[in-house]
Amino acid sequence: MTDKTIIGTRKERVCTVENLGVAISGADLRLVEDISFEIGKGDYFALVGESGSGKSITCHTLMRLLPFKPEIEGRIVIDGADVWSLTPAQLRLFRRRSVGMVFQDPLAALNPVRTIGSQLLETLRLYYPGAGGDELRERAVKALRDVHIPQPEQRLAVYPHQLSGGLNQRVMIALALLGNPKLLIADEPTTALDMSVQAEVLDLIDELRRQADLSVLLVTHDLGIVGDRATHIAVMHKGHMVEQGPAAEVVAAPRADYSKELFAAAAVDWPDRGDTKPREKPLCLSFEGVSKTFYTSAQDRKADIGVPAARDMSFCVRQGEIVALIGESGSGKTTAAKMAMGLIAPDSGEVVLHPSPRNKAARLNVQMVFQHPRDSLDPLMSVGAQLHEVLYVHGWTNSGDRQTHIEKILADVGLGLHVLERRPTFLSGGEAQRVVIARALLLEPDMLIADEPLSAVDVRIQKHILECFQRLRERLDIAILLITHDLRVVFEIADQVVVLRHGEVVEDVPVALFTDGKRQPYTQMLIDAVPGKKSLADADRETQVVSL
Amino acid sequence: MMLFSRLFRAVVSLWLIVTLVFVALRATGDPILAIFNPDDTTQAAIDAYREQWGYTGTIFQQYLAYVVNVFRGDFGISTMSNRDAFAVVAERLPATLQLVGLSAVVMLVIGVPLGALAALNAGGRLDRLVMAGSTVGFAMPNFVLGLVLILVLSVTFHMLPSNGIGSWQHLVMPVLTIGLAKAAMYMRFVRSAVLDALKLQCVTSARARGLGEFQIFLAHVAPNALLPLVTITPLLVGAMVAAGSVVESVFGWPGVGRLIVDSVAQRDLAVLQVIIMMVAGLMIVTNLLVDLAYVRLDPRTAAAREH
Repeated sequence: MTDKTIIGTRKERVCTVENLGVAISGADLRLVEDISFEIGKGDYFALVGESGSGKSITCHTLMRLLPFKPEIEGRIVIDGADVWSLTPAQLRLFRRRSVGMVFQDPLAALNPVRTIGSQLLETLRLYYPGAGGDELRERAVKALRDVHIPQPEQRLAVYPHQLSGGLNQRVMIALALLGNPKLLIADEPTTALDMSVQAEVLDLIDELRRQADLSVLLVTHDLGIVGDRATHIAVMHKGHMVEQGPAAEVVAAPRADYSKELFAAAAVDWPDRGDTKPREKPLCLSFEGVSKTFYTSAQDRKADIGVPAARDMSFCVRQGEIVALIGESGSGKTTAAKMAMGLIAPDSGEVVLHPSPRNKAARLNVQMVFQHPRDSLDPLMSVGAQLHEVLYVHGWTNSGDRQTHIEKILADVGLGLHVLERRPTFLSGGEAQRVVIARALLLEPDMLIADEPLSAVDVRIQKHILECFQRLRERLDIAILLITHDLRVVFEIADQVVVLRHGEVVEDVPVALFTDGKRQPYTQMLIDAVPGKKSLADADRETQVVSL
Repeated sequence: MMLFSRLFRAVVSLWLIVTLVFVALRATGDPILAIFNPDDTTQAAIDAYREQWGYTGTIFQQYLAYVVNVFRGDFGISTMSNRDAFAVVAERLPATLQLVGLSAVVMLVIGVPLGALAALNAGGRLDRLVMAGSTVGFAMPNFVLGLVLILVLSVTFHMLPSNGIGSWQHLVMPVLTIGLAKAAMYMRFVRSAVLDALKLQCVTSARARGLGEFQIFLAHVAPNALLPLVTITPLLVGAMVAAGSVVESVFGWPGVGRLIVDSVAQRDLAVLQVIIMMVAGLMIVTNLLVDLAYVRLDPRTAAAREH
């Protein structure tokens, strides 16, 4: 089966894609055009690009797993098989023996109503049709042990929802590798996982690759991951491959304009370790010993079995400051934001909104920016109408005044007036998020609370939005409470970092001190997990800039 | 513990239903006046009747007396037949259970495979054919199919008896009438449940592992498609009792459904109350069973309860 063609000194090729084009059959819609690449044995090939660039389509095409009926141009040869000319029976064998696939959300990729064990056994039975139950069980346990799942015997009887995301992704990897495939396709394997777990899963994939001389095709939008691990990088943009080459070359000197922009946007500026400025500005928001516990039912409340989302939480935000609230999922970040907005009342302690330092109002004006910009805009109203509406309900009856004010705010967030006539569906992700920020700014707030404002947008757009926040702080002296799980964002713009874990404040330091190596073990672990960190050791520490 | 609290809630909802029915039936007309024309009956005769059937005093007093009697196992006397209301309903029950049970089997046997095939063939010719059939099936009132069947099978071809009970031939047409109508509806539920399950990522992931399509359907699609169907199926079976009232009249089937129609017409309140309590009880029990089944079928719900 294996393609033995070896050109010169080059190693065996596992996957060859030639002039691949994918279009939806019937609809005249080309999703991917003229893609060519090769993956050699043991290569770590990274396919990067923003959402909608066609990278997911490409990797699904490799396994004929597209959710629609496609028209295919070009040729895909994997492990000696011309994928799109296989008969259904051959295709099944090809999927069993040649390629394994790992998906973005492990919880969705595993059947929720069946145990881990039954899903492993079901797949093992394909490879060992004659094997007895005990032998299959042993093999399943071994497969789990190979991906370093603790107590593998007990895990067989467990359902996916009873495991953490990281463990589920390990199970998924074990499943994908049961047939010892030549190629492992990992489609955004860490996007749905917490930062600290991401590194573990990527390390595992790396380890398995080295052990079995496996080739890996990693699809990701996260350039940090790529710089650390890949041997080859290909950059996709709008269905085309704009650049590919050995990782070191592409990272050091990207050739295509698009990749230059992409890599520049993803570079991490390690924070200065200089002196910290004293925090002297007036207080905006302070949490004083705030606790909040959630109960699922009245009985649980009585029995006091609840999920503590905040435990004796204390921190403050001052005028003109960007305070980053970081933590993994379940750490209480969003609860803190909701309490600051007054949407949830704390069980004990106090959330104080100090009198507005700028407007001399009795109460601080706080506005919120949500995670998904499109979901927080009305899809049927034009942007202009939505912005006018906000002002109108707050007593701005003169439409001329409203228009002048809106134009001023749009300039603040760096948007042109042309967006006013559009509906949200016709905005790009970055424009939509800036419209949401503009809407929050209309009422001239003293403080913005932004809940993961960057997680739904692409790297390049993240850059624009961060710049927008920075501008607001400088020009309007607004305080921003920025909730995020991404430390790179923190390094970029925050003044103060508050680390939350299980509802407790683990760390509350100026960002300049954040990476001084004297932090709590948990914080240190989060810092170590930042993609791109590895290259820090090689990078010039004087400039303290990590270029990926 | 959970079972106990569920049972307690079941009893409370049954009691609420009894109360509502009692009030509603009495608020919509005096049952005595439904039997007698007050113009040509003496007041004394009417009063005697009121006394005999327990329609004296305020509605609240009547209600108290009724509840006390129900707890003693006395559901009142049917005004139509002058017999114990519970016995009147109980003797009709087997005929209806037979009809509903067989109709449910028809619904499942036709609805599940056709719905699943339509989903697997979504957008294809078979799918369009099945969906068109389903639309016709549930757009048509219940009795129309019954009348058509009588016209063809009894009047024209003399193959089946059009009326009554006794042999299996009597069962064919009423069972088909109810079963086909519900199967038309059920097909849609099955189709959309299977379609949703097919879109699950775990199905794609099973396919990527090289499992056969049939195995994927059995092991990954079906268990997930079952979850919404478990909720809807008992509701549809419950609705068959309601459909039964029309169909039983068309085919002269001596079941509970026809008894409802007759009792309403005659304002035989004692019998009506028994029927409604029985149907409500049936629904409550099936819902309880569904919840218990759900915990077994979907491990995620069991976890939610534990925490």
